[in-house]
Amino acid sequence: MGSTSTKIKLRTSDQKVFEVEKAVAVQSQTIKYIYENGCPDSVIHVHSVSGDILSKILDYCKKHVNSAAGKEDISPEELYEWDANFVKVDQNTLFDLILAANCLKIESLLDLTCQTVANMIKGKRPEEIRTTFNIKNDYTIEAEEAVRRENKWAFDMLGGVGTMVIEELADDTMSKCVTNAKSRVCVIAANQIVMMRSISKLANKKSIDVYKQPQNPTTPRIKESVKQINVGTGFIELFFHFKCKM
Amino acid sequence: MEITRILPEDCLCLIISLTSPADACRSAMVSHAFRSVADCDAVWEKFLPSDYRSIISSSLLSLGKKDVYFHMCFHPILIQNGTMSFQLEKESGKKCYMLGSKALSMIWLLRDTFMPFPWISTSLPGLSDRFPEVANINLVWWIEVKGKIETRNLSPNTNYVIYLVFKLRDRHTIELKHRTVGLHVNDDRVASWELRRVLIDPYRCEALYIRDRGDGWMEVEMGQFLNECGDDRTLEFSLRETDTSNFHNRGIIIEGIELRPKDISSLVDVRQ
Repeated sequence: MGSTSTKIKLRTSDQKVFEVEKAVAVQSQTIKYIYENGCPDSVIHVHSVSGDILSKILDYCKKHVNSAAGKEDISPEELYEWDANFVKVDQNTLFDLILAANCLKIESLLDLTCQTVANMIKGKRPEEIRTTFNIKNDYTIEAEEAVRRENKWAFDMLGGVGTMVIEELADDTMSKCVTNAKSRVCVIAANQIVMMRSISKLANKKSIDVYKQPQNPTTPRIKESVKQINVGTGFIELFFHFKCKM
Repeated sequence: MEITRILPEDCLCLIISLTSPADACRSAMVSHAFRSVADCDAVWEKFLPSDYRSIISSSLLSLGKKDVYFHMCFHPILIQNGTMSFQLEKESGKKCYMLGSKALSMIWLLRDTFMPFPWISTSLPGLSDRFPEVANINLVWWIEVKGKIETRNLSPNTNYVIYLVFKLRDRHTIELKHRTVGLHVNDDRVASWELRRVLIDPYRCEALYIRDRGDGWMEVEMGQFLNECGDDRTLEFSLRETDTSNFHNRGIIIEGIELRPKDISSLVDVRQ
């Protein structure tokens, strides 16, 4: 074993043992703390995480460590895509990942997984959120009306028939923007002419992909054609006519 | 097992805080468990601007953070010696400012004279809910109104739209007076600026730019500005009469110039 790659052993709740590089394992603040304060040679027990989940998490940590260290030739956009695919799992697995990221204190993974769930809530009516997560409505009719009145303004905003996701692909000047918001989601009504300025530094935009995401999140999104792109001082204006079926 | 039973409260709070104020309010209606998460201080603290403690009065600090948030949305606070008002935009929690007439610089030429007059307080009290006085400009031949704001006071990564908030006097006269104004917004790093010619006449104008605010005042869009992170610039905006052939201007009452985030429903960041 070379001195440059210290390995740490992790044992999961279902008694599986993983041997990983220290640099990967200490992405977890919990493991880092135990390693630095306990006996470095023995096995660290991660009681609340199963083998399958830990295996996924270690994939995530490895990818991010390698990308940051330059060991893997991956651009920020590709890493972003990889992360997006990483969270394309069923709900139970997603929740397990959140629990594990929380317990192992891996902040970037916690943010990624929680943002994924947040996206399943954004722009939705309460009934739709209940359907998505299989939640029982435990309000009485009167109580439900009272809460709806209290939050009436939040319902006035809904009315779109879908969300538009705009992802920006560009040349290498985008590397700073990856950490800032890259995708824009907006709820728009049918036949509405949408004018949007994208909020990021834009030097030489090569292309803009615009997708229409139907309200049912399992339906794949459809690429829209962008009618016109104007490059202004530091922003791009997109004009497109969004027509969809009611 | 449903989500509120599987995930601990701090994870649920993190999830809701990554949506938006409107989504948090809507999710309160899902179930009782969701409501207690959606009303959590941890969630609304994230929606408030980071410097909210220094802005609001200390008596409000004892309220729950959700109440503080909505208080800041619906009760504009006067700052800068009562010349500017500040509030939050309820859908996004971003900062909105209105510069009252005392925060703006105005120059006009009176009819039949060619000397610019400095701004004198011909002001009308009691007309505005927000400011003690508004500027009442009448029978002018040419006018320029200017304002500026430091971009570090604005919310980062936000598209701001700048509006002139005004009323026309004598709206019921048959012969409606109108003027063409050039409105422009620039910041001191951009060499050129956006100039927009708009007719200030709510009865015959491009409906795209002039609207009734619903509080007794009209507003006309002057321009837009993208405020990025970490910028430290001065944004200047001005209204200038460009059509000097028309000197039958009846007069305009200006409440102020407002900056607020661009109003696209549910424009949210997918990845922050």
